[in-house]
Amino acid sequence: MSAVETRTIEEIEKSGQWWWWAEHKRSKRLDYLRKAVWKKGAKGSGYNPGVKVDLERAVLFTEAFKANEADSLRMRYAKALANVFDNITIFIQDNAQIMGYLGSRPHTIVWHPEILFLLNEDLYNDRTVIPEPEAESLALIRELCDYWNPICAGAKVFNLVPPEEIVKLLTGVIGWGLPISRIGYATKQWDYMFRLGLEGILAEIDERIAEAERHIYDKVPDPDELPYYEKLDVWKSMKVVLEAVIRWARRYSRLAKIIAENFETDPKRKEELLRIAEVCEKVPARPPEHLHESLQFDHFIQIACRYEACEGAWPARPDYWHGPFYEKDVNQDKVLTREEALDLTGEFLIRCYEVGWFWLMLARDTLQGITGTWVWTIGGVNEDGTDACNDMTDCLLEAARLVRVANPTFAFRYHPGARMSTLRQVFECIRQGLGYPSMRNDPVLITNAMHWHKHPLREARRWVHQACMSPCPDTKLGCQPFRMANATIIAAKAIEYALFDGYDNTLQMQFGPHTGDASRFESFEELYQAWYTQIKWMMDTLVKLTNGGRYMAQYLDPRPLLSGLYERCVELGVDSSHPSERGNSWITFFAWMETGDSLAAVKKLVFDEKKYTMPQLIEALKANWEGYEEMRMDFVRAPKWGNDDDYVDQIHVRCHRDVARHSWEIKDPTGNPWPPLPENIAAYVTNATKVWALPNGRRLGDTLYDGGCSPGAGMDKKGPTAVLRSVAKIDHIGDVRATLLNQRLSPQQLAGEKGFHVWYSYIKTWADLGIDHVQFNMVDNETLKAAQKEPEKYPELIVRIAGYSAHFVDLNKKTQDTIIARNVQELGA
Amino acid sequence: MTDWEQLRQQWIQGAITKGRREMPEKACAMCRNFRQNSASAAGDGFCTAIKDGEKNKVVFDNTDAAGCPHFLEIERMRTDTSEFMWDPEFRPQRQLREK
Repeated sequence: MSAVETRTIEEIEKSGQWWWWAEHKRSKRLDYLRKAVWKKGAKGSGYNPGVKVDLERAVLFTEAFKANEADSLRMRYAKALANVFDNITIFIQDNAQIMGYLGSRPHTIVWHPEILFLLNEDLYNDRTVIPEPEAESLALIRELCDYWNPICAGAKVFNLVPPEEIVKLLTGVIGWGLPISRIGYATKQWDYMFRLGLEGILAEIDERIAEAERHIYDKVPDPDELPYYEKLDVWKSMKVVLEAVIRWARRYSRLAKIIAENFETDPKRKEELLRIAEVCEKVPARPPEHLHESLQFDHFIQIACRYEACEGAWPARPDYWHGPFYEKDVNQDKVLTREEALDLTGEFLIRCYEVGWFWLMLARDTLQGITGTWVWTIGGVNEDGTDACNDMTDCLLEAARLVRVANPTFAFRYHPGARMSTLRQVFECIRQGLGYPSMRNDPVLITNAMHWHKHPLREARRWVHQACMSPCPDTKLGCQPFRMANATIIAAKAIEYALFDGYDNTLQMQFGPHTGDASRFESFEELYQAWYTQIKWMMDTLVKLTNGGRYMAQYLDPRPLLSGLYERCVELGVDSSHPSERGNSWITFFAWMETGDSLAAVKKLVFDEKKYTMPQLIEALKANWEGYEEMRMDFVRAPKWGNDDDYVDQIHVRCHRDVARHSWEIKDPTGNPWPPLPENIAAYVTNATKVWALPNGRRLGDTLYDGGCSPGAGMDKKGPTAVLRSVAKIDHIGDVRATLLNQRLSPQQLAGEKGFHVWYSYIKTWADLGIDHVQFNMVDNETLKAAQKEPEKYPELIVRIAGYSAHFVDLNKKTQDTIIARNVQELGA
Repeated sequence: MTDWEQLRQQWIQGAITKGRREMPEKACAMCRNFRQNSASAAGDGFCTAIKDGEKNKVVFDNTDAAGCPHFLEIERMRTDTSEFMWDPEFRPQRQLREK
């Protein structure tokens, strides 16, 4: 028997071991499903023991792709995907009520060989995920690699874009991610899908096809008819794959019925299986009418899209879209009890958690513990501005505490009218150490969306997280199909390049533009302008690659399934990558806050106080501060962000303003700007080896700052109010698309009813200051250190990294140490 | 063909045909001068000690470094694959046996 049965809730709260509480409180069904799930996120950079790559998807996809050479690339992809849906092995897990699995076995991760030769070779050389018999699997993988490597999307895109830019990107020192549509984040348009169901969308496609054929065949020859040839191909490919998704769902229906009628002996489970059969027969073909159907519809679509591509994020607003079904089933018609709804919702989270694919090593490193940044949006306001919190919001928050998965996580759209019962649930999740929801300032971010991308007010109010941070409306013209992650710069490199005339010390090669010998700079302004030139060059370089990759994706790497789920694409007969949405681009800035701290330290110690000269600084940096420890400590002690010190804060503000100004000068394929979005995921650890020594006192290899506007770990000396005051100096509407603030709070201080009021008071201050984001870790150092020492005793301990949560034991030690090093803020002290 | 075009072709072609090999006794991945292209994953990278003109030479983690006068072995610590394997400025590479 577990210890939980002899301890009181108060004792468990004191111990911080909330996973025992969850295990005790959740239903037997949820307990079974949670314990049966395979964790697909990487542990450090390697997959967990037992996880194997699934070869069925790759083989089925390739077979059909090869068999249809006469078709267009788009149609070949559609038929290849349809072959997967028609033939991949399916199964139903005991106790499960929600169907749909990515892979042919519970322990498998899928492989998309058509995406990237680098990924393929990585798999071929992997030593842990090759399924038995290994020799046979390796021979098959080699065959698939040899077929796909020269014709995969990556080979085509990388040959197309400027060679200098792509080589620099791939080194990993200036940016992150790849300009390939099948590694993008796609916001889904649920109003379209839920309104029509896939059969309704197919009916619309049929109408378009008939109309196009009339244009082509029923008139005298005319150049106006020519675009319809391509549109016909788009519509027909959508049709092939949407029909296949319906067939795939109905395979689950048949399987459930077969098991119920032939094998299941438990009458209750038999009844469940027959209900599952009904649900899968109905959705996603037709619109959902009940909660079970809406959740199942949602999950089928998300899994189907991941059979098509490695969608690295999971934009969703489950309380908004499933809330009406919860209200109808639980509160009005009472066909579902709250406990039954909680079971379905908990399983909905678990089904998401188990999704995984074979992923680039860099991504595994940078997203330790998870498969992708699956941040689900909850709360916020409706289109008319009223509070959107509902009983489904509360149900999701309660389910999260019961199943304690690290993915998906939630982000809560806080607004002054948010109902108190939901805020208490939010607090309870944070207090119980989940690290989520992160808090988002809804009024600020709605205005922000209108400012940068001109989304109309009602649409801006429909925003969801497209990845971990950036808001994107899930509307017909708001949905952004591809956020290609390679518009991500390692911003601290701009300081390095400004100090070394564009030379990259890590790679020993000229990378950035020549901006002059910094040892001869005579004023702070010269250094600042050199930095500004370098950061603009980085932004331009990565945006150019992304724009090219995005535009060409419709020809080189089309997405027939995703296209068929967007109203605008069905209407226009275009691929989802065709830039016909309103636009919602952003440039992620990793390692951003080192910029202001570094510039401030140089200004103070070199140009204002003249304690050191520029040649001395350059020499010390070249030596990675080795032999200059006393000098380094002076630079460490120079004014730092997060202490409400205008000397350094105003330099940060100036950097933000200038970068934001340049954002308006660079355009995405829709003609919209590229605003900055500083944050870090776990890249503040992995990039530590790429950023050379900096004037903030950091050495090569030292971890970078963990947030987007967070102070450096241990650099905030004046408490939480000073942190908020510094952060509030940034204009969270005009300076950034969003920015990430990490805070650690004391679990002891926030215990009980008093704890809620202390936290709520903090949140109101944070919101009043106009800061767009904050996320909390509320686990004390004693627990974290105990988990480092005896990880087997803390498998369920969750922490917030920077934009996502993970189980603490899945992080490498260096990342774990950075969580421990963050200052614990004493609220109300 | 510009230097950058040559670099692009070298690593695309090299990565596509890299194949699976056991690590040579002395491989570039074990050298302090090797920088893996970390946006990729197939072990392609640069040697920072050997130049082609002003650009670094393209090498792979399993390129045989036997006889290379610039070879400088990294320090590795005993750990498992989830850990950083050596000095913090060097990332873990694949295909290396545990120490």
